[in-house]
Amino acid sequence: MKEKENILSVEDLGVSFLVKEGQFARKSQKLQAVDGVSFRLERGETLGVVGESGCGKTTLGRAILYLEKPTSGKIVFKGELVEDILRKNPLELRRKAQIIFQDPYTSLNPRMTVGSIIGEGIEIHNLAKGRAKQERVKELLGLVGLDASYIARYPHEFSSGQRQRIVIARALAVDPELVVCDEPVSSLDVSVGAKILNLMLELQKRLSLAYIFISHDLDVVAHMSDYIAVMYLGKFMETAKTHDIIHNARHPYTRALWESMPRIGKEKIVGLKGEIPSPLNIPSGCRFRTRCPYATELCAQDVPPLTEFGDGQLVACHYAKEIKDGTHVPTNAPV
Amino acid sequence: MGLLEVENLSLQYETRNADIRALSNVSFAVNPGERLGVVGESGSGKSSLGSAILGLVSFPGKIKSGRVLFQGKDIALMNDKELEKMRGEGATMIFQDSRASLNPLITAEEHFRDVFRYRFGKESKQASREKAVALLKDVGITDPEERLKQYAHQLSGGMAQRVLIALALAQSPKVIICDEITTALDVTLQVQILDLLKELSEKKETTFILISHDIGVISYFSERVMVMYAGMVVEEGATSEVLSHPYHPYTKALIASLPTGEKEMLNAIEGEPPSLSQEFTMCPFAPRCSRREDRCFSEKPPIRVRDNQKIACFFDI
Repeated sequence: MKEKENILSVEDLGVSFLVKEGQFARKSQKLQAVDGVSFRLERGETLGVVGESGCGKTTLGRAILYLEKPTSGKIVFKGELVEDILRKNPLELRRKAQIIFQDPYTSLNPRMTVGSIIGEGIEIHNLAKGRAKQERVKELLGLVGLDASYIARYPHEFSSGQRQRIVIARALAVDPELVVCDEPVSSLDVSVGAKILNLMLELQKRLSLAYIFISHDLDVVAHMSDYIAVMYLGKFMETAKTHDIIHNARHPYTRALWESMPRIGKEKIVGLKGEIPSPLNIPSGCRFRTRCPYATELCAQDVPPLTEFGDGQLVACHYAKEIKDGTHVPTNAPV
Repeated sequence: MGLLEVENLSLQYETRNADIRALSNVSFAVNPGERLGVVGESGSGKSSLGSAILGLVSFPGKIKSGRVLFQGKDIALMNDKELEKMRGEGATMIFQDSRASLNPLITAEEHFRDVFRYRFGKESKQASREKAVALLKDVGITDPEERLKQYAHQLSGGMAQRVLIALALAQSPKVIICDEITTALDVTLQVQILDLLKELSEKKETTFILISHDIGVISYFSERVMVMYAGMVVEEGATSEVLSHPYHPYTKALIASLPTGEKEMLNAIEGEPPSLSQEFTMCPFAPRCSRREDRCFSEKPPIRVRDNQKIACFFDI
């Protein structure tokens, strides 16, 4: 087997914002959007990040590219601190790490042609000029399954699926090694989304891309990822290989997310009660305890650390072992 | 006689460049207390169907043929007063973006008071508050007095959706049309809302028409399902039957394209949905269909019944 090449390693990453209490307030509060997140990502592999809205998954994606400045921790991209890369040569990072956003309507400039949208990065990074640039753009259009003749058209002439292909072509134009994909198929129809996912898998194989795939949809994340991190209120609750997250989940939140997916033939779902608490008011101890059917006194007092359960599975739950063994049953009285 | 019957309905948006055929010859009926799911992709006409049922079609939309019967009465023949009554006490609609459906300038309580005043005439603040509190309790809101004081921007997505459901229930309608109401919600909240609607349909015998692009949601919620493609109904039947053994190639392909939880290629449907600017004289799905034959391009398949399922396909696949 080929030696794995580390693309990204993130250690104890934290991102916080200051939020004013009301429009005219002088006091502000700290909102910890990402809290002590660590992971590693190898070339050609995908880390899926899944969680509910407001869990910090988008902030995490942006912080990795320094689109949001981290407040603590470190990010190492190909063996070098991202901060150092940015200081020496900011363009370098922007070339090697790209991002794809959810809404293909707002992420394309309506006044630019497809050719100039995709070619812009090539020009900025001095990768090709003139005829060579045009050729490269056409090649990219072909790569994402679009006709080379589309080069002179404007974004409004395309369907949402085609636009997302243009967005992908633009990201790939500068030969990145890491692509952060933030809900890339959430605004697309099922059949259109399926084609985009297929395209992304194919491109990953062909170009050895590393993906960070962010979505609220566990099915889609499972489909795309080698590893999955389940995020809740800024923290990773469980990280494991995709297979283990689906068939061998230990954290009650992971199980609840999986259980809550409506599926053909499923008649009864025992889901979670309540809503995700405000990130300005994170519960003490385990932050999931207010919605957890297994919560006890202990959960309100101590923050459960991420503990390893073999094969790289990390779980932040005091009762991860007992729940699996069936010796700890739901208390049904969240503290 | 069904509670609501749609007969041969065709709806067209007449724009300067082309006439867009949003609905073509749609027929179905729902009975009291029934839960019908309408599934289809963007542009399949499912939202247009919702507005047509409520008589909300406006320029450039035009009903070209067919009719909507509510309790046996054609809504096109109703006068304004009857129509208005039908739209609150008969049928009502809840939309996807819950916060945008609420007036940002008034509190939740004022929304309720407006509805009460309009429907039941002037009444004391106290009386309408009590009624609103009872409705909010019905939809599972635990601190209704607090919520009533809040504005749309202070409510979370799930909470706003519950308030809207409570507002819809204020006039005890017989039919509630839900247009993608859980699409913007997280899965854990989605289950809560779907369970709530199920409970209402069982307790109050409310009829639900749930419009969604999500087959999982339709499967979980509805007893009967109608699959739409290019403004037409291509398959209809009991949800458990249709989704476990679909007869129409489009339904089959749609189910096959769902992610499986393994990192492998999905069975995506080739091609794109057709333009709706011309009348179909062929099967609209034929160009993307894996089972197409010459006949599919020369004739439009009529709707026929096969094992209690209605399908618009020539073949027994």
